[in-house]
This record gives sequence, structure tokens and C-alpha cells, in this order.
Amino acid sequence: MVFANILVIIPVYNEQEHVAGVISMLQGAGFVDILAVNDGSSDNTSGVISDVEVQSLNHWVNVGLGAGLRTGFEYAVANGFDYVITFDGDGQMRAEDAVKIFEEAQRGHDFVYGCRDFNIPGVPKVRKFTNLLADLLTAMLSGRYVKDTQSGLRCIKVDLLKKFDLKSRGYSISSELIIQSINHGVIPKPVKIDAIYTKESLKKGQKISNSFRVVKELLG
Amino acid sequence: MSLFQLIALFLLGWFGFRQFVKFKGAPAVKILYQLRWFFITLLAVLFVGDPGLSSFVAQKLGIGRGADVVIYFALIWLLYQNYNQTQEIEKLYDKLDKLVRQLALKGNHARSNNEESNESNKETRN
Repeated sequence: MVFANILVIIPVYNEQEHVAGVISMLQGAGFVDILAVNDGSSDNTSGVISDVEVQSLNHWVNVGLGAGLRTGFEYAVANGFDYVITFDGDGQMRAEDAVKIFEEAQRGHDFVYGCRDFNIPGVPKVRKFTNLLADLLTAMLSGRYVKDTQSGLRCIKVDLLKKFDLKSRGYSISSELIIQSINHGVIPKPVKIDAIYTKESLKKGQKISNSFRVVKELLG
Repeated sequence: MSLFQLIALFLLGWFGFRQFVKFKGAPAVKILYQLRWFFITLLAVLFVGDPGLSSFVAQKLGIGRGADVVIYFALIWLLYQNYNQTQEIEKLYDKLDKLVRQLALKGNHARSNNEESNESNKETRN
């Protein structure tokens, strides 16, 4: 099966080890339009991306996850795609889950996201806590509680995306997307997914400082 | 004059001298900006040089001790400066964000145009 008119956006920063594998996994699942946004990586991520058959954009300096995604969204709007899927470049997600959320989106949901289960063994308590904190803050700002707001796997209809006025440069983009979607009358639809926890992904994601950064960015 | 006054006046004098050097040849807007700092330095020199002055001001404001007046005003000034600088940094980040993203997107268009023109060149050659 080949998915047309869907752009898979992979924001990457220093992911030379995983990005090629992630791209080939998505290509294997039938995604033809894949855009890697290299956010000023200091390692060989840019070289790895240019060696594989994929569209890419380069930020000259590291600005943040939010900036990377916004660049990808702008590209999707300019090139007339119908849907965007955001997918992490650290090998923490499965391509089947991207297919799953896209199929759910096609059933009439403009915003579908992959909702992870944090109660499985092996997930550090600090990670559960930081995610809960971000969820509660997002609920305070949007007026509706949504579980796992920090999930990086989402499928958004471009028509909805065009209505957003996104400002986030960093991690707060995840909450901002949920908030703006709710403000436009679209409640994000969660779809249960399995997250793969690698040593690196845990190291990157579990920092409590990231949660405080999300809080700061959302309030700032 | 106490040792503290001597040290403080020396440091303030050095700070004032640095501002004076920057005055030379500076545009009008910069001079106004520098004058703000010059005024603050002058105020500090007055308070350090004559501690009785801060006590007088404190009495008039109903604060009590002269040192407290200096601390309160210094705190307000620092808070104001910190806020201003944070806003300025935020504005710079916004500009950087816009610039980097536009360069990335335009770089892509430039690449696409080059690829298209390369292909049309090939076709013309063939």
C-alpha cells in the first residue's frame, strides 16, 4: 500500500544513529513523501539524510523541536499536501502506528495522535510525572484534559493546520498543537500505540527540566 | 572617608570613565542611552560619597534606614533591567527562528529550481 498526499515530517537533531533506519522503516510501510527537518545538528545527521532518498530541509542553527515542525508544516501547506504526520527521529516509534493513526484520521478525525501507555514496566517514574505535569498544564490552558499531550506521533489534516497560529520554538509545540486544535473546535483523538524505549530516548525525554521548559514556554 | 567609600568611588569612577569614552562620536540615540547609565552612576556616586543623603531620602520616604532606600531602588532597577533584557532576548530569538526557517524553506526552493533548470538544460542538450 502506498500513501499519497501525506507528508511525514521527521524533525531531527543529532540523530545520525537512527534517522536512516526510521526513514527506511517509513518507506517500507508505504509512505512516499517523507521530509526530514535537520534542526542544526552538530553530528553527521545532515550527511546521513542526504545519502537516503528523502526530502530534507536544513536549519543552519539549532532552534528547537517546535521550529523544526513549523518549518515542516509550512512546507506541507506550500506543497498542497492533505495530511501531515509528525514522527520522531530517534527510533522510538513504529511505522505501523503511523499507518494506524492515518487510518483513524481518514475516518473523519482532523487531529489524531498516538497515545502511549506509561503504566507498562520499564517506564521511569520521573517520565510519568513530567508527562502528567505537561498534560495538566495543557488542560489548564485549553480547558480540556487530553492524555499524553507530549506524544510526537500525530496526524493532522492540513486544512486544520492552516488555521493554527503556532509560535513555539521548543518542546511546548506539542501542547500548543493540542491547545490550538481544541480552540478551533477539534478535540484530538487518541489512538493507543506502543512506544519503544531505548536508552537514548529515555535519556533525552526523561529530563524533568524539559517539563519546566514546556511550562515556561507556554506561560512565557 | 571610609575604605568602602574609597573602593566604591574608584569603581564607579572607572565605570563612569568607560561610559565617557563611549560618548565620543556616538550617534544621538546612543548618547541618550548612555546618559541613562551616566545618571545612575552619578546617583550611586552621590549616595556613596554622602551617606547622609540616603538617610535624608529615607526619612522623607518614610522607609527608615538610608541603606534600605538604596537596596529597594536597586532591586526595582535590577528587576526592570532584567525584564527588559529578557524581552529583548525573546525578540532576538523570534527573529532568529524566522530567519532560520525562511532560509531552510528558501534553500529548498532554490534547490528545486536548480534541479528543474538542470533537467531542462539536459533536455535542451538532448
